[in-house]
Amino acid sequence: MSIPEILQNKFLNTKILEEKGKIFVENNIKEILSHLKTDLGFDMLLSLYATDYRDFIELNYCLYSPVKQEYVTIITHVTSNTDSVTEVFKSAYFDECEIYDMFGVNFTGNNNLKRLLMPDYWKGHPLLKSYEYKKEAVYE
Amino acid sequence: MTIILTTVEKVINWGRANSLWPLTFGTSCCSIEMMQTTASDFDIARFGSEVYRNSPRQADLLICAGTITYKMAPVLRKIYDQMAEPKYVIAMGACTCSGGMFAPDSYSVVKGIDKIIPVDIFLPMCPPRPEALLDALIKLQNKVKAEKFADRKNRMKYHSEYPMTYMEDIK
Repeated sequence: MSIPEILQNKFLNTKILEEKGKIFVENNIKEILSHLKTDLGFDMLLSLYATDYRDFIELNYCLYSPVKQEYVTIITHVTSNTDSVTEVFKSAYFDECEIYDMFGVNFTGNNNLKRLLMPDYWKGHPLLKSYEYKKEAVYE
Repeated sequence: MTIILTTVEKVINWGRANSLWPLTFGTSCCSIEMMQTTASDFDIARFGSEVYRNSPRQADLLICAGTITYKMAPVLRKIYDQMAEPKYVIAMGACTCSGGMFAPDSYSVVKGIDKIIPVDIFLPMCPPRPEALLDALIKLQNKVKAEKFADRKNRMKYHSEYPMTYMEDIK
């Protein structure tokens, strides 16, 4: 059985699709990552990154299994709130702080969520498409 | 027996101009050119500036080599305030002069470090060649040699009370 089928059999209420080699997951991200880590051996979070699509923000969790030497990428769509996965992968802390800093996603369950790159007094989240800032005049 | 006649001002300025010790302050790619200027191919030691100090208390010259962001700006000001008088600043690279390629469309880069600290020599180019940095150093030496000893209190006042205006850009 492929990994999406295994996940679909385990999480019946969650919509799980496979697209372009990545696995799209509608919700329950924390339980699914926990299942992938403990039962399927994907115990390494390579990276966690986000993309702004105006209507939603896409989160990509890239996992790796050193034993099987396989990669798997989990995609989920969020608007502003989602569950933190720091209890499953501790290394997700800095990635979540950076995504909060740049995209304004609140990770519930991540205690000590703070700005990583921008100063603390900064207003807004710079990598959002809707972010407005003062531009200098462009010389012609 | 020979007698040399000169003024105290000329002797002091001659000494200062030929031993400008820079501070190691490289925040991006311009610092690679600064290191290359220090190395033996270009040899900044010919002009008496080979001793890069790691402490601002012991440095005379701040070569600001690299992009300065809004988060870095108060740090740069703090380092500048820690330097002892007389102190000089070379803004090295296009980023420090005006924001450079980040000037029209960046949310995080300060558009010129003259909004943070007083600058003696602006050295644009991206990044400047070592010869350009040596030329800037020679121009700064000429400036130091022409200084008036009596103006030093005004210069100290100007340096310590220089206003920081970079926050106006983000509000």
